[in-house]
Amino acid sequence: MTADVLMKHEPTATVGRRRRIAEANGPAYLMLIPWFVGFLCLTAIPMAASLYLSFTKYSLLAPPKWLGLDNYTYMFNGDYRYWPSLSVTAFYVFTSVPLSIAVALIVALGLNRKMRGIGALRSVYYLPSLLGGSVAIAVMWRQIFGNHGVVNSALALVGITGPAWLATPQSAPWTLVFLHVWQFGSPMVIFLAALKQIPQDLYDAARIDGAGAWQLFRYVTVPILTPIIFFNMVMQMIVSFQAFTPAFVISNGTGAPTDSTLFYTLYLYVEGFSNFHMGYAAAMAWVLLFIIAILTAIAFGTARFWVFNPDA
Amino acid sequence: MSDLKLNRKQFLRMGASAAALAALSNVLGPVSALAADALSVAWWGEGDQNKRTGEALKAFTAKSGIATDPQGTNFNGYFDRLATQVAGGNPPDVFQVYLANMAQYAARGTAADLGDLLGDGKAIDTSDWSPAAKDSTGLGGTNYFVPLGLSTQPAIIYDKTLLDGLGVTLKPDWTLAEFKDTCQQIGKALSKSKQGAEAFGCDDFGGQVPVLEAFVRSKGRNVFTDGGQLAMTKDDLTEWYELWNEGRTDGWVVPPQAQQQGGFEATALIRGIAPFAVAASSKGLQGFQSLTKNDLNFNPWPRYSGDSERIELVTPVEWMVISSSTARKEDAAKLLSFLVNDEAAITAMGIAHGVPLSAKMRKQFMDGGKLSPVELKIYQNVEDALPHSKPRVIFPAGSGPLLGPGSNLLTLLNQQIAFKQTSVQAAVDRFFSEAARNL
Repeated sequence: MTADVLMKHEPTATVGRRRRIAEANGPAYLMLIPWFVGFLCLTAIPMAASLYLSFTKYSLLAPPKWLGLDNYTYMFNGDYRYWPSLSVTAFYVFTSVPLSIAVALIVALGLNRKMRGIGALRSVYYLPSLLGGSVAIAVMWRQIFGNHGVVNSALALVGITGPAWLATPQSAPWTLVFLHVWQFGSPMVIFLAALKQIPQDLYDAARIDGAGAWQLFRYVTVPILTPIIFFNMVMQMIVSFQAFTPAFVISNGTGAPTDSTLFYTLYLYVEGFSNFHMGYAAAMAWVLLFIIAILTAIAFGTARFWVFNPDA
Repeated sequence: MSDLKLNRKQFLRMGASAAALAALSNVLGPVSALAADALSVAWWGEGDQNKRTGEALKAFTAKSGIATDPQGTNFNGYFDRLATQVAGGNPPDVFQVYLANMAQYAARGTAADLGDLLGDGKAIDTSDWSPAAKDSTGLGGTNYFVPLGLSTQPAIIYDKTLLDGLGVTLKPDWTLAEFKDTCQQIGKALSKSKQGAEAFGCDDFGGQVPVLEAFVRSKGRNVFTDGGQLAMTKDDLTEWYELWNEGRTDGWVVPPQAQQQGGFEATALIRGIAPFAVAASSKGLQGFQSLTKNDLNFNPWPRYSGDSERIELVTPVEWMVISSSTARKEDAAKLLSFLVNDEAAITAMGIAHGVPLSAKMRKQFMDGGKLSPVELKIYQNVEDALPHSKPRVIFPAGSGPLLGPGSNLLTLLNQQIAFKQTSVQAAVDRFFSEAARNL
């Protein structure tokens, strides 16, 4: 039964109302067309193609061949590099996100005061975030943490022989975590804005009740900031799962040493473009999307237990 | 505005039409590109190589009247771009490939069969080419590849100044046992001269594919069979990993903690902690020599034993192929012939791709008096190695995860052995099980 047939049986008043709405919304639809075309061509169609490719053997150089679930089966049961890469990424996410949020909050607390030149100081602290994801910074990081880099030279001044930060599987992932934490600017700015919104009355009332600095922070600042902590946590988690450039540059695209810096996205890239396994890489991308979606859903599910909601 | 009647259904129709139009323009893209007059040429290059290749292309246009569309980039990103162009149905007419993936491009039908264009007296004339060049053009009996130059691979590059200072002289026909003894001797002497600072006999080549290949060839076989399967045996790989493991235990191989990621500057040779490095001769000596004032020189990979033959590999580092989808195969062949056979083009391109393919041309350059001392060394090294060179089997499609560039299994397993995360036996088993899956 077509829509036209349905329309014939609809009351005249309903049809007229629909026409009026259509006329009123016409310009809006017209304005939406560029976005809609962009969404369709740059997001929806590529995503659908990627989903299809994830069920195929596709080398980029020849047409894809249907494999069914083989890529997914191999990923979980046969690929000896898949789980280590997921494990390295999970380590990176679950260490760098809390650390970067903690550092961002501490710096924001320090900068949340009225003093001469505070604007310039805030800008300076924000600078690493402007540069953070770039190749140049990753290259610089390699120099800083090299065997004879800045960090080990500084340690040598006080008689400590620093480890080979980038050369051992134990320490190499930590250098990537430090690089992420160093880019605390964006969450810091959001924390700073939120700190300024906390009513002074609350602090005054708590002080009258005898609260010290720690209690003010623990029982006033932190609870009110929980929505911002939640926002930063979710955003940072999504960004961290997708981190690519630092590991690519620091390990020369290899994930060395011993795959200890083989981030999920780096492995996906290696499979897709170096090994010509683009169908498998597409499957990996969909699993990553699924993992991020589940963890985000869990975060939202737990939010009601710890995130302050003034409307509740 | 009141005349504008657009309901949701019409909106979706219009959007879909616009999207279809956009998609159609993508499809038509290659057509318009093909309609353009210029022959598209894609390559990668380090240093001034892109400028040099651009000059060679200009010289070709001036001589032939055929315009080119130069698409030179650096190595990083080159193959991502190329694969995307191929997948999008818009590959360049001519593009550069190398050992790690040339078989992929040929096996998947992306590279044109040059049977009617490449050969003695044909459009790409091979009459003057050395056998080492002629031997490198085919895969499975079909010619696809046009070599851009010749180099020795691997060239063992050593710090002659440093070794002279230590009183060590290398013989070109040394054996593996002599190599180990020499490295031990160097490690001890260098450590003593550096008063206990970190110093070793040799960098860790356990994860270096060209050196593994030289080792396997020194035992009389190639890494792969003509049929694309492993010719290297489990015993070969076990012996290989044990060689470097023994070196780490005995202290003459640079340990994993002292390794650094990076280019020429990160190697043990340039950092002064071990005197050997490995590279293709043409790129290697130039790159390393630009970073040190010490005199560097070549020595071949050692013979397997006193009874073994000295086997070297003189081969191209990079090749050009013609796209199978180009409508301008003849023009592309003219260009490639010019690049590899014309003196002006060879002069413009310099030595980064290796020395000329023709013995006559090499002699002409060597006698011309215009080569720098480093270039002359590279030429001489190829001449010295050619009598000992035997053809290799090109790595087959699917070998990338095992022995390809960057993140390959040989290197990963070597690192895991070095960090004691796995045993030699387990590593060898892993390598062969992955080989069975990939090849």
